[in-house]
Amino acid sequence: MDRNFKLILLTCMLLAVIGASACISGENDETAKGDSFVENSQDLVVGISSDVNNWYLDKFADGDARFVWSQVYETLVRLDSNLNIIPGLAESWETPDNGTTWIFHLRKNVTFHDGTSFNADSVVFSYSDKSYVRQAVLKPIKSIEALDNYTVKFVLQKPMPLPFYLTHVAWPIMGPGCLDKAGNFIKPVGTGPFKFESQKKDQEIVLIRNDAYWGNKSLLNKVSFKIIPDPSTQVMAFENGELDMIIKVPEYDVKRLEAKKGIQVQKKLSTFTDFLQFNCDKTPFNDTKVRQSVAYAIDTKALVNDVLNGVGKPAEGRPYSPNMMYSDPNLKTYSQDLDKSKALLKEAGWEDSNRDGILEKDGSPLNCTLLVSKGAWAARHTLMAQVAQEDLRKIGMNVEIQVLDEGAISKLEGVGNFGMILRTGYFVWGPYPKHFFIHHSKSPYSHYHNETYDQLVDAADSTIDPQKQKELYYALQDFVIKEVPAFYLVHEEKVVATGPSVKGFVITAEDPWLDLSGVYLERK
Amino acid sequence: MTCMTENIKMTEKSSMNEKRLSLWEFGKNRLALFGILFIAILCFLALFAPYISPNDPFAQKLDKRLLGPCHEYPLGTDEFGRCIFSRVIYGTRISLGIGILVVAATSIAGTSLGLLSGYKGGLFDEILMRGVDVMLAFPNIILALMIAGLLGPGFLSVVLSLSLTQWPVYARLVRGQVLSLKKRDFVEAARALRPSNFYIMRKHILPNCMEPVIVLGTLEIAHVIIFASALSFLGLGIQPPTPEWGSMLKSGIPYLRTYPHLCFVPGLMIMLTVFALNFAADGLRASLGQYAKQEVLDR
Repeated sequence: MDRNFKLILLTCMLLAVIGASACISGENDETAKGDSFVENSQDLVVGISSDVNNWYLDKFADGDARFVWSQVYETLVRLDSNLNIIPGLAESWETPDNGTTWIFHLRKNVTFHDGTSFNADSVVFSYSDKSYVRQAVLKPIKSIEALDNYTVKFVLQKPMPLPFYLTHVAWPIMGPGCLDKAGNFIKPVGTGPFKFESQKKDQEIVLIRNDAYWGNKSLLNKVSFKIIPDPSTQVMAFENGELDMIIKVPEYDVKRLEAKKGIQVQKKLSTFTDFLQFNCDKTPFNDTKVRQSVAYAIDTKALVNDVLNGVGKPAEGRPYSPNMMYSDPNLKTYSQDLDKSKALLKEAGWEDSNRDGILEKDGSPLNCTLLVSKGAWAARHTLMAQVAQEDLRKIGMNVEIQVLDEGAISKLEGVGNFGMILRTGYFVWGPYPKHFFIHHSKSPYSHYHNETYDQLVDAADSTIDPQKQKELYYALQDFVIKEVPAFYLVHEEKVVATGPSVKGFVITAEDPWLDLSGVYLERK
Repeated sequence: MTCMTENIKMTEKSSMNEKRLSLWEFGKNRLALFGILFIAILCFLALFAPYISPNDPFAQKLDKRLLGPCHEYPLGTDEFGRCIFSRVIYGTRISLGIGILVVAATSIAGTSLGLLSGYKGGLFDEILMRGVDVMLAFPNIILALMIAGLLGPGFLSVVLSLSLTQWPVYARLVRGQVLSLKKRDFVEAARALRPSNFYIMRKHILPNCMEPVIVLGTLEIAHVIIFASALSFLGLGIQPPTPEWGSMLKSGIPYLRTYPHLCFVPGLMIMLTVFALNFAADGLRASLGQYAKQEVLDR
């Protein structure tokens, strides 16, 4: 190749790189508004990061699928934007025998998207023993019976606060029209404010307004959920006006978006908490002292204030977000104390005998793996994992981060080949404190085995007496702080950003949940 | 440079005069000189990284995140408050290490296979070359991605996946050389003394096809560095917190619009290194003579 030509090529490429970075960093408001078509259609475009993996009640709807489900399907009992329990498809409910039998009185004049009417039979259908919820969470249901067209009776094996369970968006009421005559799933049929229109795999889901909705009909004609897995790409598409709304704004972009004209950013503490779950069956985390030393090593305050730009609330080991029911406000939490952390490790027998900075015990070094999900619920997870890694390096623990997809993680989890997993939520819906079940021996995600703990969890879940519940849940929180089956890092703060044309949106504390009632568009 | 001069010494037809001429040619080529100089600097940085880097590349200072260039941090800090300058310097070790390791492995393997294949001919040649055809027909990066995906992320898996995908180019190049060399008079003359086949291959044929291999190897280092960065960028390569240019680039992306220096610095390093290696290879090609040039261009 000619030398001159190469020189020219080199200069061109350098210029291109500089030009590109200048374009990107320049906050150019003109291009952001670049929506050339002027239209006052009521078609909302929302960005989500994963496709709806499943529409039917036999499987769990994971990831962002539940944001879409919450438009199509409804539940018997609902939560308002501050997590108070309110009537949903059931107008009222009662328990004649202190929580073992529950009778729900259903709303009349509600129709499914296929025109059939909502009645007691559809409730029985939705909670049949084929449903995911019966197999996973509501095993104690003995029978469900339609007393008349609009009354349903649930009989349980033990007293349980059933209405709280029935608020979960992933086990809603579905119409029998979901299935064809042979019993195969054909299309989603719910009662929600929007009807399913079309789905392009991993690209887009389109919903249209349900004109026969029983409540306040939506002001929007159409809602399209665009699937963009990468959070930064999502934010860019939002700023270019391709999306009207993004419902999981990454923490690092919050401040920048807040400063932008026309964009509205709403934040609200949800009931989700990020936590490091330990593999308590294997060394080194089978030793409570090692787990406690991790709790003393990680500075969750710096994590939130510096790395997450102040979005979220440092958990300091506190398992329940402050707006969870029975979250103990006076719980004795952890704060970073490296000396204490090191002392605990020494007590546990870990010492740096070969002076390489990593501790050893009986000749084997203090190594462990930290699993992080690739398609994580939140973009913050990889950042948090790296901060934890560095904090643990300071006490002589060598952490290897493995960013893997969900399937690979559950495989490793199944054979117990891991040290820690970074997770969010799990058995969390609304304010109901079911989450402690995760460390119960019978939970599929448990890596902690303690009979006292199991008994406490069972007892707490089998009473509907608020005073007794409070006592038990307080005791459980103390237990988790002392025993550390998991170290709780950050209470999640939901962040939703809406574009200049979106009006009337109010964020809810429930996650995952998207409330579009009252939203309309004013395109200029 | 030393490698090159040695090689020239080995070749039977080059005389001292020719050697001086080609070195002078090389010196005249400014871009090639820049390339070699830049690579020399990189090697220096890689070797003496702990003495040169002003800060610990792993130490996070959460209260000093995302700083611009300043006295303490010459190129600023990243999203965890780590010194970008130190990380780039340590990254040189990884990138150059992978480049040299992979090129050493692939050039040795590829050259020996090509040598055997070209010299022996027959069925062995046929089978090997069809295998090479299959490998070359695949886009390299896809094959490398597949292997890295199967092995799981890590330094070794990067080296292995790139080695397994890059060797056919050497085999193909060397085989072509051998095919033309083995019919040459000096090989015929050597054969008259009835030495072993291995002796002929080692003493007469191999030294004569080293020139294009050296040029190709230099080019391949650049190639491999880009591939390794790409693998890390896609999350299949070097894992955090190890400073690798590709993974630094990836972790900087969220801050591209607010703190572009997080991406700009490692990106520029990848670009400059690859340019330097290409220029150096170009210079080598020119100074090693017409012969090598033609073969590499034909590839």
